[in-house]
Amino acid sequence: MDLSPSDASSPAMDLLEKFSGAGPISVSTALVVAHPDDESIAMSGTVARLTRLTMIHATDGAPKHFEPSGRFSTKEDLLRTRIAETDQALKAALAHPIRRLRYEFTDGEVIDHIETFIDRLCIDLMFCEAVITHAYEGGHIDHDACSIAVQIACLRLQRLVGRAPARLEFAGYYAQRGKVRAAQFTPREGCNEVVVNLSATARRRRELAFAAHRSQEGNLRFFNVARECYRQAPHYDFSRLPPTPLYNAIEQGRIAQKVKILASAFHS
Amino acid sequence: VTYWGESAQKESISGVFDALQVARHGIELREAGELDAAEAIFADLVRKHPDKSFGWQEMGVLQAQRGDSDKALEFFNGAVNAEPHDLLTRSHLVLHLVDMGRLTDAQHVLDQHPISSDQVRRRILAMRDFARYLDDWPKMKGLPYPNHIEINLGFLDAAGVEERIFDAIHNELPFSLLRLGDGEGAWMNLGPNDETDYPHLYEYNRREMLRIWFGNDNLYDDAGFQNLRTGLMQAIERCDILGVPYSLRLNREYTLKSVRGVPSCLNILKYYVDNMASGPTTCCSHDIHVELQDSGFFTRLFGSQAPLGTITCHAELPHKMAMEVSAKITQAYLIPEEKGFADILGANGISDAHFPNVFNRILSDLEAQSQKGMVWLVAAGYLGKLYCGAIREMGGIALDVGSLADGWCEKITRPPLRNKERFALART
Repeated sequence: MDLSPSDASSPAMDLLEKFSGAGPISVSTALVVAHPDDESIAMSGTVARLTRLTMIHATDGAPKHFEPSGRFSTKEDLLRTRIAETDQALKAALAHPIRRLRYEFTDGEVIDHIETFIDRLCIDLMFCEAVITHAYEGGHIDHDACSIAVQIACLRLQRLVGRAPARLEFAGYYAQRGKVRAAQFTPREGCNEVVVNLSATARRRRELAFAAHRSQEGNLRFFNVARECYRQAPHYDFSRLPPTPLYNAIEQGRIAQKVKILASAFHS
Repeated sequence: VTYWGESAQKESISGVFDALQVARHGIELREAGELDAAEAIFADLVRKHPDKSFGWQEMGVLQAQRGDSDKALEFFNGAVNAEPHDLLTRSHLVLHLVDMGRLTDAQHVLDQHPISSDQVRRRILAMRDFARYLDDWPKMKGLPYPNHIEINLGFLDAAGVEERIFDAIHNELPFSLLRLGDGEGAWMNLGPNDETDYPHLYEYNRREMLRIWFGNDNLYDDAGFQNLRTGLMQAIERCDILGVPYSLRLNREYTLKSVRGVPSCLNILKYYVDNMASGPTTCCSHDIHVELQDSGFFTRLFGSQAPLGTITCHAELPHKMAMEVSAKITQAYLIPEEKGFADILGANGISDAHFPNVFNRILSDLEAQSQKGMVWLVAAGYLGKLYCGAIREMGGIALDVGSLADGWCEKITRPPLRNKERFALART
């Protein structure tokens, strides 16, 4: 994968065009998601076309303070299940990642370990031409942490080796006028966006991938199985929180505080 | 490498574990030249543990070292009598008989070994071939090869190699520095006659190398993988500088009577002398990568700001090179880790097999872009030699850095790499 200096926007546009077309996509692409199941939300209908996919899960999908439920009596049970479900979902989506990485941060705490997260991304994104992650839209604190980490890692790589992967993002969910909107982006000017209307077989793969995440069925039912949305990632100003975050004020404070630290470290 | 028969592997046998420690002490004394003291220890071991092979065997080695072949033979025989079902113990007797010029007797001893499995059968067949190989190519006939290269043809030192590399960089010339060790030597092709002379030995060594590289030997029966040998031989023939085993290394392999080391190292040297010595390829030690590290070459290379690419299993290496030594990394490929060192290297997350999937993907990527002036640091084992050959064909500059990449990433895959300061990426 070429890492020599170039305009990062055109590879992103190229990849977006490929998404809206058909056939295999050989661009070396990393999909960075917060939780097991986010990969299915992101692109379970399209992922089969990526022949050089690096799959990165930031968290293990289990919160620090685990409370036993009817379904999972221990945290280990939950972890095992989420790993197995993800394996099954990737298989159902016909995803064949050439590389799979689990960073194993605790669910809900990615922002607290974001320096390590960025360091690891700098290492692993060196091998990629493009990276797709969550939009910075306030859907979940870990999603926003992913967006922050990927943007900063790419900036660092740009500074370090003169080139970084093209940044794209997929539509997750966010709040607007008191409602949760799923599978669409918060409108943003200047961000090229594609909506991939899935074929019947791709839609079926997406349904099967969703079905594989049995422990998350309550969340996944809000997502559209007929289409997937991608766009060129904007250059975010993380000193501002997303308009209406779905996470609480304490978590918003953690994000704001960490962004301040990262900004001063980055500019020093 | 010392092997003492299967009983020595069972530490639960009362008294044997302590005896092994005593035996190790005896070996240390023997290797230090204290033969009398060592002999006393081994004699005591034979007296106290006559049913265990290790005392007999080490005494045999000692007597051979003293030059008393007949006496050594008695003790190697004693070792086999103590543990008749242990093939490796028997191998010592076989190889001693070969040393004495008694090939037929050696093969007879092998034929007496019970065949308990397919693995044992393969090992016996390989040993038969190896006995014949040593008979055809004894030390006195093998060592002149590296001596001829070192004395008459000339070995390039680190400064000479560096000059050639920088000349290629400055003039954007195609170039490859290839290093061959026993692994590649095992897979070399010296022609159909040689292949039919020692078929079982070569198959045994090749399968063993596959297990080290890929975790199993399934690729042995893969026609595509076997065909790579043509590419390997081309990469060797067309390289600019070839790192080969030196006389001390070959001597050590002969001393150890290494089933893989002797034929693999000698075959590299034979091939070079017989086919390439009058051509443009210059030789250097196959440890040239370490010499280049010691000489500070890599510091100068990184400082030169030549565009660099890496092919390695170390995910962190390209980033580390950019961060720590400001190397101008412009391309990077990740390959699966060598399975023989999986515990040390850790998993880098690559789920595909190196061959054919990752290998073909990288080659097609390399072919798709101009390699002129691009310097590649390749640490990819056997397949790495093929990457180097392909990069050179495409006009690039390929340096086979081998285990240096492990050292730069502080992964101790070989004992010398324990010296972290010596193998640091950023040298002070």
